[in-house]
Amino acid sequence: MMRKLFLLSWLCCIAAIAMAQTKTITGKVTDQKTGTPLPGVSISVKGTQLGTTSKEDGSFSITIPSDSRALVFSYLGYGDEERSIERVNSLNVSLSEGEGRKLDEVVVVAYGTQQKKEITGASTVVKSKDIANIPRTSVDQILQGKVAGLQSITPTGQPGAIQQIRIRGIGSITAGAAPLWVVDGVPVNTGDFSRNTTTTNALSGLNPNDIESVTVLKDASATSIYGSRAANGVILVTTKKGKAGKSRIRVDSEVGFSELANYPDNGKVLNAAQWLELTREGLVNVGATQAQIDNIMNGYGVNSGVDTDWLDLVTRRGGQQQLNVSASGGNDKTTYFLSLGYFKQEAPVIASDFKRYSGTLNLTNKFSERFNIGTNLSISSVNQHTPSGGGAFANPIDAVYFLRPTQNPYNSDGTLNISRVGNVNFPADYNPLYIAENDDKSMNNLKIFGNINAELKLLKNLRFTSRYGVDYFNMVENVYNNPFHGDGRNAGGRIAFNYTKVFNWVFTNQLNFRQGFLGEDLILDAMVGYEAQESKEKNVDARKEGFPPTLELNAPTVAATPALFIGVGADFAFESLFSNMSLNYKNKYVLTGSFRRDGSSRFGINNRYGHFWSVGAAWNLDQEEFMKNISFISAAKIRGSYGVNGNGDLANYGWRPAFSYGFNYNGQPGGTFNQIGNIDLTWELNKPFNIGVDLALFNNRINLTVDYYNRKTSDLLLNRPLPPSIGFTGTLQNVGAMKNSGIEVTFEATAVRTRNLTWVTGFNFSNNKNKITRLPGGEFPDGSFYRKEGKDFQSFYVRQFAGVDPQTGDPLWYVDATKQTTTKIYTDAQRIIYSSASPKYFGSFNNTLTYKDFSLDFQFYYNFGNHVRDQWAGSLLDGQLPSANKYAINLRRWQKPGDITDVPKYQYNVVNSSSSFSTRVLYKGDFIRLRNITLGYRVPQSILNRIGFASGQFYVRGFNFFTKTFDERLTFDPETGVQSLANLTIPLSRTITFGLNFEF
Amino acid sequence: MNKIFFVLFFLSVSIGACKKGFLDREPYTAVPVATAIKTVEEMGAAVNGVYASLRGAGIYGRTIPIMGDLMADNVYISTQNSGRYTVQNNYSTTVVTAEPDGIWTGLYSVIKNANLIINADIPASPLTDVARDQFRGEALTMRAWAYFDLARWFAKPFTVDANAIGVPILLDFDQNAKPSRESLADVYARILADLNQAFSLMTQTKSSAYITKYVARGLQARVYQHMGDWSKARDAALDVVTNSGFTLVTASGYVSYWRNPAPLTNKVETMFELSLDAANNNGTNALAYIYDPAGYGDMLATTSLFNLHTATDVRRNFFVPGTRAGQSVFYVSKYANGNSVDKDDVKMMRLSEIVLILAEAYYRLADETNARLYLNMIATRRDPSFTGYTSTGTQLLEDILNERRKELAFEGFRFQDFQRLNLVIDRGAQAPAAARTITTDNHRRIQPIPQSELDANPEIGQNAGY
Repeated sequence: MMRKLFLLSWLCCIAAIAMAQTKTITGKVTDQKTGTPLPGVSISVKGTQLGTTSKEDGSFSITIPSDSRALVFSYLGYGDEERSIERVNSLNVSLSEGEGRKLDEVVVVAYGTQQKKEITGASTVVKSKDIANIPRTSVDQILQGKVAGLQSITPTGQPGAIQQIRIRGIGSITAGAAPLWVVDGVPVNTGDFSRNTTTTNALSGLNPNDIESVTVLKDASATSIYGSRAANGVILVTTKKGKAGKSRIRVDSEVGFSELANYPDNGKVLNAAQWLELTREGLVNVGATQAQIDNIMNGYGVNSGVDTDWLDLVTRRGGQQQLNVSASGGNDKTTYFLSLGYFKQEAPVIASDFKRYSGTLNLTNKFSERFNIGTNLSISSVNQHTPSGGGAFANPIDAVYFLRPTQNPYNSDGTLNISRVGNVNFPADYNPLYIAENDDKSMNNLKIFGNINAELKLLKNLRFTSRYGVDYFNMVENVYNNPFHGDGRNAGGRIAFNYTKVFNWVFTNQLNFRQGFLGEDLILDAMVGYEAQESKEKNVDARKEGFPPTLELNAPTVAATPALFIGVGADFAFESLFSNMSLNYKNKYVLTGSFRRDGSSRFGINNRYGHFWSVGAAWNLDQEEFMKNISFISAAKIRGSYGVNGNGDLANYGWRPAFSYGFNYNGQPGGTFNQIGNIDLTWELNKPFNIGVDLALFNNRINLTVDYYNRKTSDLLLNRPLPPSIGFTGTLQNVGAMKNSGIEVTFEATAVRTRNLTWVTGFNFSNNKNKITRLPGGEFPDGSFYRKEGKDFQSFYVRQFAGVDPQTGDPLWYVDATKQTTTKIYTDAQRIIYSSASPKYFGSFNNTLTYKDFSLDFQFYYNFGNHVRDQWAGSLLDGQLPSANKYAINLRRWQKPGDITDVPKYQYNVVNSSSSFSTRVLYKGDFIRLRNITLGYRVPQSILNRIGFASGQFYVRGFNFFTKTFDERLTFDPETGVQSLANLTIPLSRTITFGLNFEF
Repeated sequence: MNKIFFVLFFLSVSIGACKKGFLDREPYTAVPVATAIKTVEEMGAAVNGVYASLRGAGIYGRTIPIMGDLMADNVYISTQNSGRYTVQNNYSTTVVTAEPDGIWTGLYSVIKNANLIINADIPASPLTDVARDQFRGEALTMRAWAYFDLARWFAKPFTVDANAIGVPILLDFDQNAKPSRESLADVYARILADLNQAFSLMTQTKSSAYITKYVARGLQARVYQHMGDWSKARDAALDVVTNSGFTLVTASGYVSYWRNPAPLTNKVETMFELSLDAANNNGTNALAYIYDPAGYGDMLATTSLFNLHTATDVRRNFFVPGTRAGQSVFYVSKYANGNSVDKDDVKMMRLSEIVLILAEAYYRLADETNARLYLNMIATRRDPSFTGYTSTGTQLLEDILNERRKELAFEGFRFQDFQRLNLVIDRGAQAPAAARTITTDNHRRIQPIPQSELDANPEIGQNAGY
């Protein structure tokens, strides 16, 4: 009830301010170059919400308050134009194509749009031209290198895989560290919802070609209005909308192929002769007798003549295809955007692919002068085949390394070999070709996503918006293992079925108020809103075993034995009140503030509601009189912000003291008090400070943005140990703290601009420093990391490799950090805190060259300062697991006294831990990658006019074409996920596509 | 136009949003603990939950029975092993050793759950009182069992020092508690009180998978045996043997009795076992799997134990000769279902044990005739060619203890016999050289209070030597 009163009283006090006299202005908008009329241009009164659009013939008529000072004309793909309307009744305007003046842009921000001059926060916009037609399955993958401060990492080359995004460092230890995604105003569920698929990505159902823009919000001023979910940053996605005017049809089509990208020679495997030689040498080195050597070598098929190149057998040239058709248009009452998309990607590894069919319909209708309604609706179906990952025998990449080159993939009659007898066959591990052919590991995700919205202009400066959004998906995972070979053999064939349904709705209502004072010198923009969200997830998992002895059937019904039936769910709800306000004095001084009250089912009953806020200020120096004479400065702005927001990415029910069922006994249901809970448990607190500068020089030919941030997170969820004698060993509490600080630079310059040639060059740079500042439970090793106050969260905890003894070939390690003495005993070497899995800096170089109708785009992505760990080096280097193949780097092993090398003597079944985790298998993660290179040709206007097309373009694009690494010992590509851990995933692919797009 | 606004406004405040309890989201697999046990049926489900937790591999599912044989002279670990329990085999336990931590944590978790049932306020009703009392009795017995094993593993033997420091006694849940250790006498008093109450509450017999009043009585006999209170041990054991209705398994049925993985209702031999069925079991962490050569096969029977068996002793069938790591060894096949779908149940109490307690009690009370009677009741059933012991005096005691060793082998009893009798353990040449003779002053005979407890509870004290 309080809320209703609050909204109503807002309404009343705002209504009182609003009445004034009006006048009407008419005119026409044309294209500056061709002189053709531009329909659908949006025309608004500067500093208000008032506006209209131009008609079919470019003409417009607008009734405005008589004290209005200027009109702003904006049109997609054209620069904004601002015209004074004091003592003017008619106005003809011509717009020129291009980016427009940077600092005058209107950008999508939280719960609306904002003129760039009024923005006090740190945010970066990525436009559709940088998102469309990229051979990646989801928009999060495309963001890599596009935004300073945003780290986007591919942990695997599986098409459709999860992408890890971290904005301004890692801000949590036990809770989520991924940003909040908001699509067309609706906060959506992201991440991997699968339970039996190696990797999936909820965002892969969104066709990147349907995206108009992405805004990445980074600091308090930009994000705090998202309250308890803002701490890891917020990414706003806006889909394409129709424009009034001529109906247009656009076709984007590309085909191509993908193959293995960077695959270091040292990480390739040995052929039969090399591997057999190594094995024999290893046996000699451990003093085996000739009889023992012969016995083992014969077992391995020394004379079989088999020499299998498993890498070659499990890799392929994968197909790549995209087709997108869209239609858009409308009149001054109704506009539409309609699209259909098809996307197919095959990994360069067998049994790994992705397909998406998608359709989008965005409609807006001007119901009356004051009332608009609209809908955004998108449906997609994703089909993905994903082999098992990591050390699973069914993983084809595992097979490349763990199968011997003397194992025979085929029988003499050419059929696939699945014999389990003898070491030239498959006594334990699997023939990956048979698995790829006869097993099925697939996922289908049907996603329906969209919103209906309505906007009512209550008064000329007061607007009410209501939006009901739905994010629904339905995921079915099917894993069939045949009864003859592989994972299903022991069970006589097996099928696992996992069903996931997520229904997430968000209902948002807001009132926007904008009013000028002091004769428009001071503009007040205020908004207040209410939002409720509920997300419900339902899961069903079932498994059956014992299939008929045939490969023809895999329907669960024909299997004999039910083995598993699980049904469960997971829900959460948020309820929020929010408000923001900005005060803009003559576009010189801008002050903003935001507030949000968030309640969530994830927070303990004692701390259910939190309050989050921000304040920000900006000073547009270019608007000052003393700057007006400095002609080379087009725009200059200093901004700063500070605030408080939270990370509510907690377990759904973690706070509840719970008595859980499922502890069944003797066929009867049983339950126990197994979750102590914590009724005080709540969001992690984040306090970001940001200061930044935006500069545009020489008529916008040079643009520079620099930001410094310092975000302190506290109340981090950590386990507080309890005496086990009370019945629980610990409870989660909000006790830890961490700090991330860094610098971001974005630079772009039009280095050359002549009639025929333009060259735009730029770069972005991000640096982040992470430090744990409070760990009340004390420091502790956590896997290969060490968590300690004052240290980077991802610091490695590792023994230092000291090389190989030239006399004996034994591995050496330093005893301690002083590196004074070495030892041959692995456990005698102390582990030290070393480097980090997080890069010190990363970013990209971008260039666009345009010569007449040709264009060349290329982007380099770089990442420096981290180390990457090989999880499987223990088995794949040296003789710890002599039955597996070895990395080619073993070819430079120590062989005789005097050999100087960093690879120890090869010993069969060696137990000296030579290949166990040490700095020997921790490599420099530095790399520079030519992420994207595109050569395009734009069909000239003269030809287009003749054939009646509006535009046409051909291109050839190379993706991940070239990679430079900086550690010659690397056995894999160093882009290995946030944790920098190589885990036999599908390798990164390099894609080449040929495309064309045209519009008529 | 304003009517549109009011429609929207109405919608905005009515749909879902202001619904009371909008933020209360209940999990799908759990209920709030405060209201978990309101009815007798819910009480029964909670009792099932405690049985299920007793089954855990960190306590009775594997660790407790393994340590009970391994740390004595029945079992040793092959040099070819999976790395499990080598610390116990080597007698090198420290405060951070996982197994004592697992026993401590696991048993106190059992106590926490049993407390919830014992303290549950279920209204009296003539329709449900019998079931309620039965469930409460089962929970009391399980709590007593947990305290008894905590006292046996983490404190000095009662027979050595009844007033020694014991373990914390917690009778209800308090998340802020920092409990200190009570005296051993207090702990045993609590155990006996629980068992007396349990005996008087329980009236039902379901199957061998559930506790009955005579299981409580049998456990009482075992507790008195460990206290050296022989007349009470005799009375309790005699009550079970005379009145419980359980019978001993015959020689011809002995092997198939052990092969059976399912609970029984015929009251033959098994008084109480933890059910491990096809759906709920410990998988490769089962007790059977660590003995099974087709599983880990780490645990091997000592030659000294094998040599106690005559050729006609039916129990000799459980020693399977084999070769492991180049050595001739005896695998143990008492648990045969390590790789089956339905796993071996964990025997918690068999009538044979109670009969042998009775024999020992009569011996201690100087009634050798009855001691021999009950000793031979077991011995002649296991070896049909054997005519029975005729020994007297200390030889009779030795025969009783040896018969216990054979009958209860691989069930975790042997080490506790050494403890309560305060005897030097001679583990034989198959044990690691440094841990062959375990004198009574070896501090590792008593497990350390785990580091996790010491870290979080300043009130707790450590055992000597750690």
